[in-house]
Amino acid sequence: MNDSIGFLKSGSIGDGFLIRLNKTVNSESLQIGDFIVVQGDLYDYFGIIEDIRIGSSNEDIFFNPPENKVQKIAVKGAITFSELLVTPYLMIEKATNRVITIKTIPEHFSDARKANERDIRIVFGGNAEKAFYVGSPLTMDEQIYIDLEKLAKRNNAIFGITGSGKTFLGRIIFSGLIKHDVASLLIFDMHNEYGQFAKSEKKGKIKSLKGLFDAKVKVFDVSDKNSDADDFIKIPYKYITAADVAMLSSLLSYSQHSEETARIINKRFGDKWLKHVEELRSVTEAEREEKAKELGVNPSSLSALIRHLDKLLSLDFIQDITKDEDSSVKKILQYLKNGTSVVVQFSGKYANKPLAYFAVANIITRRIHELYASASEEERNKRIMIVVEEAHKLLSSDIKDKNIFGTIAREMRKYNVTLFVIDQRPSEIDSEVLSQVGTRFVMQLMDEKDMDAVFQGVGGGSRLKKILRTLQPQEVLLFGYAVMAPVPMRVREYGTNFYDEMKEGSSEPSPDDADNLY
Amino acid sequence: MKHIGEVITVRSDVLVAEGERSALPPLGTILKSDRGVLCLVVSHSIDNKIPGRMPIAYGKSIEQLEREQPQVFALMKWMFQAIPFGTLSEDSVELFLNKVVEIHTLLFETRKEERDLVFKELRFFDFLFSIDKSVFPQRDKIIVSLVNAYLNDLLEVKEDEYIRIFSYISKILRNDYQTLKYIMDGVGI
Repeated sequence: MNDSIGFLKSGSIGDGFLIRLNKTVNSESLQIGDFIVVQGDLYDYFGIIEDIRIGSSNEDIFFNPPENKVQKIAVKGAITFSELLVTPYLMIEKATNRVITIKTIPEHFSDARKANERDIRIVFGGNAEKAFYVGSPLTMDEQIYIDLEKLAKRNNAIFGITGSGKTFLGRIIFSGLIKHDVASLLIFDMHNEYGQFAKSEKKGKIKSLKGLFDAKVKVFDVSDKNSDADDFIKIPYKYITAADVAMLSSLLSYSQHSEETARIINKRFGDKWLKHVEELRSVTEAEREEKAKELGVNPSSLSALIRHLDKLLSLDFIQDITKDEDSSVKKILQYLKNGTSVVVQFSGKYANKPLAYFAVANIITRRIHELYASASEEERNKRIMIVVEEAHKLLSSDIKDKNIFGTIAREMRKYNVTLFVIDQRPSEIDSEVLSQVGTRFVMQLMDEKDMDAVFQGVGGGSRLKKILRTLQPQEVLLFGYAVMAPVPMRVREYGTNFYDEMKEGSSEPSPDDADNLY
Repeated sequence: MKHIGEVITVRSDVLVAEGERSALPPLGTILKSDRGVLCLVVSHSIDNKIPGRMPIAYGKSIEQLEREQPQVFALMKWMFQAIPFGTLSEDSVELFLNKVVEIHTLLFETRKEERDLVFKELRFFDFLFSIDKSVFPQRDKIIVSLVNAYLNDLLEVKEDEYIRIFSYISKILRNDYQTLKYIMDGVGI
């Protein structure tokens, strides 16, 4: 079967392959993001359409253009033509089907064709032991797999505007990680979408992670009104440091004076500092002044600090607990060590309250990281992946050094704890942190700065940006460590079929099952 | 079959043949010799049979001359020039002149099937566009006429043939779009 769509006209590894389309091929039958294979003698060269263009070899044609369809067809190929710019990523060795990154280029006039199911299978079919089906190419139904083991070894991110489908994609990936026991997830679920159920615009109430993996997922909530929760968040005063509070400075209207005052008190009283501040809320002005004198701080600064911390101390889940065992942190860590994932939700009066979210995410994560980092290597053999939404508020350049997320992003595999960031403003995330993101799932983005940010430090980023511009909701450009080549794809359906596949004991459609097709 | 003309001059690139006054082949006609040499009629000329004679009609019209002095026409030679381009065999055309055209060779009309064989060979158009337009200024009109005649004889797939032929011509004339457009516009389907 001759499935050639054109031939290699020119190109290089760096600038991409220019494919001249056969005159019988309608350029509209191809789209940016489609996979193309250029057939060399020894290798098939696997790439992605980065651009589609039409051109003319003789400008005179525009002064007196062809007048009818037949004339247009007649001059196509010789005077008018269509070309594809294809970015090559991989070479598939013909003799062995071994896939390697691009290292050479085929000869002039090598035939080009659309990638077929077999090519997709070879490149994205997931030969890895823990391969997980996440979607399909934009114009094909073949399944694209990611290597979950590779994914979990590094930091990851989903970027996209509101409504692009971040949560659905996240839920699918997290399901894969949980089902295959690749990592214990600690999900700070800002909008309560990863617990028992979630809301879908199209399908109403749908199952979420707890609904799918009841035995492998525990839900904690900061509000004790959530009847679906397995437990409730309780954070002892002693777990909160002055640095934690400084991280919340913008939400607490915290001044630099307050930050300094908190630091002095923290130094003086150690982990009892917040308890002391709490007690000062109810004393008289005179007693407070006396205390300020004793601490060597400015009385008005102390008053300001108490006033600023009022919002934090009013959070019900921050309590004066003395026994570590009573805090949620210990319980959460125990679950994570045992391979159980934990979803921390923010319902009731804490729904959509940034202060509660960022306070809990930062304090729990820091504490867990400390405990995990100090544990023996054997104790921390279970990989932990911390999922955080609205990550730019924790990982921006000005505060990334003040909180634990920046540390985890940098340390990455050192303690077997990695980050999974979900965000709509990647441009506000520190560039050093972004550079530590191993696998990126980029969905629709509108802001030019955000688009630039997600491709920062990525070879061929400007080309991938063209593909990104064409994405629709539920479509994602996936690239990085967990896949062999960048891949624009439709996210797989999240519905009853998916639920069935996630059931304990059921197996997903695997590349091995599909082998029988060929 | 009656011949159309007789070759009276042979040059390496063109034949001169004498025909009959009322039966000169139109420009663009493909003729064949009895030995299968194919040639394309590219120009017409009329000359005196008697050297030095100067034909003057003294203002008479052709009709008057025919009526009053018909003998003057018998003193004229009716000639055409044709460029040989290939050789016809039973079921194919070789676009290469591997036979010498002898003087006094008789030229005949080709049949539709034979012309179809010529058009089957797209390199025929390479020959057509190799004709020097400065020597034969009617070249493009001849090509229009030739292609029109061929397509008109087809009962079906005219559009497909048009595309096949002009796709090829487009390659030849990719740097001369004006000529291409002139020819495309001249050929109707």
